[in-house]
Amino acid sequence: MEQKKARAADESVRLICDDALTEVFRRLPARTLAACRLVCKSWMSVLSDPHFIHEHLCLVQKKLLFFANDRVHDRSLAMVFADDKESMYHVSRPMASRSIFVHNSCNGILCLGDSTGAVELLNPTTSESLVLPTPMYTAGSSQFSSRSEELKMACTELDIPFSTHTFTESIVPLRKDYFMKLRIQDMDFWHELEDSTPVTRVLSVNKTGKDVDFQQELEVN
Amino acid sequence: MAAPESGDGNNGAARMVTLISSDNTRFEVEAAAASLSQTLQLTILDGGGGGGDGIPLPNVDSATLSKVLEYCIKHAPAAANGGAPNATAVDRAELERFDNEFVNIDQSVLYSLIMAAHNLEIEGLQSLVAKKVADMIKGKSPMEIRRTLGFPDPTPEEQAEMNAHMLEYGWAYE
Repeated sequence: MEQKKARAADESVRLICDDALTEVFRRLPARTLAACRLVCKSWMSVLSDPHFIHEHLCLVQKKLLFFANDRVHDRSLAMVFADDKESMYHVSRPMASRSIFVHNSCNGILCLGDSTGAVELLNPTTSESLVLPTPMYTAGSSQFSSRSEELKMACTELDIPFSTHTFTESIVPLRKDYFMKLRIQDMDFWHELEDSTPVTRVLSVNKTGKDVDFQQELEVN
Repeated sequence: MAAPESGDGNNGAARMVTLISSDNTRFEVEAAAASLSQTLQLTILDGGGGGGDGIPLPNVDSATLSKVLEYCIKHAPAAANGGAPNATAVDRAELERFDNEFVNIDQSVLYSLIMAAHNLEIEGLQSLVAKKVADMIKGKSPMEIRRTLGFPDPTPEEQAEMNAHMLEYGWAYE
């Protein structure tokens, strides 16, 4: 009986047409949509539709990204302050290499690099990542083309062997309280990070160019 | 808005229209309420649905239609006022209370409502039910969403696909 009831409900949930589903998805933060993609194939197909993604992106323009290496816990943190003033989520994953830094970001996608010259694109919302083919790059810059709805990357390739190249980013000596507060411009609030989150290098950028420059914050301190 | 010549003058009885559900039940309702549906509005403005004719709605069964009309009747006066100017805080609070109660229903009814609101293009009802479903799944994991919405247990294939994804991106859902 119980089984039968569940089946009936299942059929009705599957009867909802894609347009009506879109109405539901429009109201959800990107993080929940990432989970929704795994619910079933038809949901995945609705949520992978470039038009829907573009529309949802326009609805939630206020997006601020933040990336940090957490040496103590041997992990990388990527955070998104997004969708509205209240929601914030972060991805924490094992640190793949000793020093990952942000080359650039746009439209919620982070372009990461590491000391081996590898370049990776990371979407902190869905946690999908794409490692670009090596050889190494010195710098990457990414730009979103709204006309073709494509993310374009420009990279400079190094001719010289890696061993002769040194990266100049200095590791900022840490004091825990440097990173306790994050001020977000134009949003007028301070966000308290977990106090056990000492980080070594931080860079954040957001789509609309309202950057939060941690280096400056540090110098002020 | 110019009243049609058949006249639903302010003094007389409001103009009524008849809607016929897929299972042939007839519902008589004020034209103003039925006009919340963009789909029906044109037909009604053309003078349809009156008298013995009725407007057939082959996609909506009687149980769902009566629920839809309950919403329309409640919201028609506010919609006629254009919402803001005459609506008092009390009225708005009352509507809000009604809306909250209204979507507190069995899931299969909710899903039928979504489709009916979509087919009939009733904007307020569309966003009300979409918001309800969105609230049900917000912040949940894929499996929790499946359970909440009453999907059956995943087939072994689906489960394998999900596991493969979680293996790769599992840390994202911690």
